Amino acid sequence: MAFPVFKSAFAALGACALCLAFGLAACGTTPKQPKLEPVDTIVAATAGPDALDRATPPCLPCVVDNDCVEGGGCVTLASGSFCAAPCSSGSCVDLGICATTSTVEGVVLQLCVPAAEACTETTEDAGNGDTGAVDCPWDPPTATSCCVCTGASCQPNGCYGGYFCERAGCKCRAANQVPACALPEPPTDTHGESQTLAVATLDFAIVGDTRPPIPNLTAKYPKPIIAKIWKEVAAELPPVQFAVTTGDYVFATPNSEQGPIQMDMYLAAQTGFPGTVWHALGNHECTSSTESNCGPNGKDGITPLYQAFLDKMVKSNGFIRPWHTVWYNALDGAWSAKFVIIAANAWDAEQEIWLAAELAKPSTYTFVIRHESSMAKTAPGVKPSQNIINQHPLTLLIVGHAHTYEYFPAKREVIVGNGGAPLTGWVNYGYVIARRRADGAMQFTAYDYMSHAVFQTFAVHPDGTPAAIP
Amino acid sequence: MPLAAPPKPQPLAAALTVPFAATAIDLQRHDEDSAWQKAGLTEPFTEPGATEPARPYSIARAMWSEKGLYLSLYAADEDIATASDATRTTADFFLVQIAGGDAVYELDVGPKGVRRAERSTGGSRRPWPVQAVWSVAVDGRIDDATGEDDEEWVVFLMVPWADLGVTPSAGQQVRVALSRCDTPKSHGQRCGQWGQSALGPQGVLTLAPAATPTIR
Repeated sequence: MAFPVFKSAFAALGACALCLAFGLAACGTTPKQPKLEPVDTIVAATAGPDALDRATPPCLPCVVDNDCVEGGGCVTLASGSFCAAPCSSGSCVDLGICATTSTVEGVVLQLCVPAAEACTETTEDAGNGDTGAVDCPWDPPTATSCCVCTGASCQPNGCYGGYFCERAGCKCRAANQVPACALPEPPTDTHGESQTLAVATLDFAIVGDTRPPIPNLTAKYPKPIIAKIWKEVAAELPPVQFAVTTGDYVFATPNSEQGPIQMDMYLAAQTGFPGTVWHALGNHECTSSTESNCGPNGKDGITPLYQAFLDKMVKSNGFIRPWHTVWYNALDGAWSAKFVIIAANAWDAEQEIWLAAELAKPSTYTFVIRHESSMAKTAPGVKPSQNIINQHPLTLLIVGHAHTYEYFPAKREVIVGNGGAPLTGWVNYGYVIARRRADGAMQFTAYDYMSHAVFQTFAVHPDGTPAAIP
Repeated sequence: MPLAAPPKPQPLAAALTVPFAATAIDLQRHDEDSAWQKAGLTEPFTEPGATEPARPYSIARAMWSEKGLYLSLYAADEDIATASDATRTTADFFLVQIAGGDAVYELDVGPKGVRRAERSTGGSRRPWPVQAVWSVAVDGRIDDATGEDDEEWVVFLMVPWADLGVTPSAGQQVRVALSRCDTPKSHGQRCGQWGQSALGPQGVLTLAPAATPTIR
């Protein structure tokens, strides 16, 4: 990992100048961070930590506008991107020139834009120690440092209130005033998880619902059917690189041990296919009811069955949440494909926000995988997710829930629910193979699992409109 | 010399040992009632003369008590529908036929319960005033015109022995035929069966004894 090393042309800063620059009204009140350098003491005296929050250190590096103080923005100079404080005309003092300028996010603001030569940015590789570790001279709250604090709330680094200690001068800084190198690694349970893989071609399989007809009837789990399906998928030529599944891998009461047992049976059958399988959540991985909603914010909470699904079918793929994105991008950069996996039976506001942002990201192909079709409106996440899907580009919506196969060209939707669960229609068990053609269209072929007879072949352009079958 | 063709697989004989339900069965509790976990399970229904399960999928469970015969009839169904005129061309239904004495008792059961009960003897049919008890569990929406996908419906049924003219005892055999017809979306009616034949009910339910006490 490379850490930025910053050099500032500002040797010192007049605290009163800062006061004026940021329109701080109350210079001279009791300091909140005792025993600091005089400059910072005066700044702290204005209004405590809030004042420091509004102070933009010179040449603070940034990536997005939110890295900077409220009202400020991240601007691009010749030497890199740095925070610029908000200003009205003529109030920047030594911070630069007050100008109407565009931030890195395209927001137009009046900012104190530093002179390009005032801030320089160099990076050094500090990843492996061979090139030498780069010192990041800001110590987090939990580290011993040189700042000094008295009182009951003092942190090991000598500051309080979550502040970092800047070793140069032993000054306490708010988190938004320190560079990224000082900030902790983002938690693994991150909002909006995604993985990106590079591939030469885009070939994948779709496998649908697999479960016994009656709860806890593990003796009738359709293992021979799903094992045969995965073997057939593995035997396809050219080989498919990965697969997506549409949910419903078990039928068990939520607290029964039969759920995890059936899930293990599914995964054992899946070993017949060597590629990665990305699993969508079905209603049967929650409570079995189509209306069920699991997760920390769902009415059904975290059932043992839901937790088993997360442990065995989500975390094993490197994700935390049952909703996430997998990108498959061309090695030569010619196209990109995002597979957005929705959990309609673990739906909440966070997933809704994520989905809108995710579908707004440009890609050549967009595949959305969700257990229930757009017609199964009783599932909590169907209507809200469909509203979002309808507002963005879509190549194909891949669903299951109905234990059959059917393609709806007008809706850009295909139901693949015939992976071994009791068939609800007249179509036999089977699977679908998707392949990218030389003309850029995606061609889908639905196969009977036993005879390999073709149910149907269809093709779509990247925008989801039907393409001709050669 | 050409190889002889392999023999055509024959349908399994429809036979089932039916466990005795030692405790009262609450038909409203459906699958949460652990007694159903111990019920006898048929093979999936097939089309007549076939070995592969019929599509859509159906299967049945059975138990017995001194009071009556308990049946659980499972129907995977993408479009759960009833017909207002009780015709058999568009409605989804199970047909339960039970031989008792010289009669065949027939129950027509749909997603909303028993629709028709008849008794036939020697070719004549008349209404059968059976005191059957039932409940239906549905995952989906019955007669939903929006085209929403359904999953399944399950009938839980108790037919009193008294209405069958049968005095049950362990080891006794009862002849039963079960069939189910459904109209999937974009397709004509399809039917599957268990124990059905032109000669009448040929599925054999053998009533198992109650659990025996441990011999010391």
